[in-house]
Amino acid sequence: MFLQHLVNGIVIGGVYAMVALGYSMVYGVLQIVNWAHADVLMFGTFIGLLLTGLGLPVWAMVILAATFTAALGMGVERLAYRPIKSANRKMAVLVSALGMSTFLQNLAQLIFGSSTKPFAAIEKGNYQIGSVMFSNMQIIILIITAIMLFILYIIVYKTKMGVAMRACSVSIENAKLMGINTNKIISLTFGIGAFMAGIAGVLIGVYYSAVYPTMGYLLGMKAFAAAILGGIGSISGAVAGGFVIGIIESLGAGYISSGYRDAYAFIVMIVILVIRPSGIFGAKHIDKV
Amino acid sequence: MKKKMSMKVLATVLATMMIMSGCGTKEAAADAPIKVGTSFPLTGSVAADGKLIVDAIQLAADQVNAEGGINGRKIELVSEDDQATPASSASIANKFSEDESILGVLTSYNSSCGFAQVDVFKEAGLPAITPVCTNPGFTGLSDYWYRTCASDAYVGNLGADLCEKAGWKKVALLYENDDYGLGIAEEYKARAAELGIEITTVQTFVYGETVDFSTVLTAVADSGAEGMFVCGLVTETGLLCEQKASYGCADVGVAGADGLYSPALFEYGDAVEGVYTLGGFTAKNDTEVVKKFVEDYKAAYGEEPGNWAALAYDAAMTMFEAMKKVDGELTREKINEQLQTISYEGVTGTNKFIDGDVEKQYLYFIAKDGDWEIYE
Repeated sequence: MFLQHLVNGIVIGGVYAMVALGYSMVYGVLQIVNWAHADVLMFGTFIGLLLTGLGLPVWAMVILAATFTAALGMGVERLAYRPIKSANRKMAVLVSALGMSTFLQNLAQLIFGSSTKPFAAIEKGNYQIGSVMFSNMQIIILIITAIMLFILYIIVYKTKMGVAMRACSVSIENAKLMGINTNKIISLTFGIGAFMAGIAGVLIGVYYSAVYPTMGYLLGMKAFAAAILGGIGSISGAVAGGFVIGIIESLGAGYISSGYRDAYAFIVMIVILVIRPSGIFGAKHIDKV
Repeated sequence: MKKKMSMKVLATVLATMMIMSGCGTKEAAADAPIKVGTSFPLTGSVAADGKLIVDAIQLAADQVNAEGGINGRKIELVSEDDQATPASSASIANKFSEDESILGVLTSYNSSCGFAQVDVFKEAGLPAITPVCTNPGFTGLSDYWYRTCASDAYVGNLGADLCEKAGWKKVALLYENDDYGLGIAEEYKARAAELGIEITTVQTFVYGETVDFSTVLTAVADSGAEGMFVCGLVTETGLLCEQKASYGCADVGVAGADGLYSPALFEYGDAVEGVYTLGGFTAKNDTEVVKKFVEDYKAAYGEEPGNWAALAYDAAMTMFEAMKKVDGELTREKINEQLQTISYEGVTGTNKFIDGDVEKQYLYFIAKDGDWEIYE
């Protein structure tokens, strides 16, 4: 039973990791929390559901849905963040983000209705190794997570754009002086984060066979907890945080009580923050006087 | 001391004013519409069921109005959205109670919401009928609270009988962690013990939030249960059925309480094939009242009525029937007196209240090819 819970936890952890990256990357370059991230994800998942209804093949559906999500994420940045971020008012950006989140949720309720919709994009299959059951969806989630993390690694550490992104996260002002088009980089950061979230959304939508307008809320909170836990702003931290939260949640629900399932992520986050306030991979922050 | 005195005087004056204003009710015009409040979730995850219920009530009101209303007065529904939260339900209850033109209430989808309202209505002397709140805690709680659905005490008992009928000796008990789920689960446990059914594991989930049943199902598979009894609603049970094969529960049967008895479950396709449940109404019933109701409902909304729609229709009709029986001026108190003794033959059986409860004939159902068939 332990192994089964572990497998379940790793799978869901991969999804949390992909969503957490979006929070962490945006925080890295802008030092703001993109509260609309999870709702952008929800919207992308609905698009995936619509595309499946149109009879598109699964791979095309996933890529199109994620591309739409990326465009939406960039649109949110352009509409809700860029006009006010220059004013250096963190509170205004926060309120704008929360407003965007509520707006997207309500819009989805209006367009798609409020009920939970089943999402059957692929025929489900199951395999057994020893006492552990795997579903094909779990294997797909793990493989896609690995591919996406690898692509992200290449983009951030091996391309010119990645260098520019990392430069922005050190200092936007200095990056500008170096001739980097920071607005473009910020927009791309939102786009990449939302693209990963779009894929995560479709995966989890099919995995649970549930798509609903409030699906972003808990998923987003847990992914945010994962980003904080790993050290917000750190890419490896977000990935590690995602897996830690997924596994702890699964084991906690399995061995302690399934009723508190959603609480474990936050308990772990609090405990780790008490011990290590900057998170597992977070850089020690020294404020110079 | 002086201050206390003046407070007393103030209190007396206020009380007198309140009593006087209470006595001086505006005499309702003889042809003014009779207002009946409805409070159901119209937004949120159970909005679809809420709408079915309000639609059925509207149908009942339209029919009564078409036949000349109640002693010449039309019925007017005042529809509120309780958002499936106790907080909204309580404020709606206060609103209805303060509005003296509202003479009766049809209310609450979730038992938790009903509990937030029952005392408010009792205090205001406003009779309320719920078609859906099944928690055993309501039995005898208030003289102004009635229900057309059976109590969970009854449903939990029948659920255990159903599992025995399905031939399960070892059953995993899964319940939604709120008044509804707990109410049935407690009764189920007691009856299962009597029948010698072993409960292998007890697992909970959160209504409207849990979508991941991996841990619950892993535990069920590990406990060696032959079947699961789910005290929950359509969405969660549908997801559970959808996911169960992935966690070693492919051969574990599923039975559920009456919350499951809705055509909405068939959105989950093959996954819900063979699921058992129970309920008080089936459109397949060929008695005269049921036939007429099914025809009218289809004509109005283009689909067959489900269990909740039927219970809601009966709740509305029972309320209107009580209003028709009142002699002289129609007041909340007089309507309530009628409800205490009424025996109304509806589409879900006899609506006759003892401690606010009904005891109706329930049927067992099994999911077959996208439809509920009677299981005997």
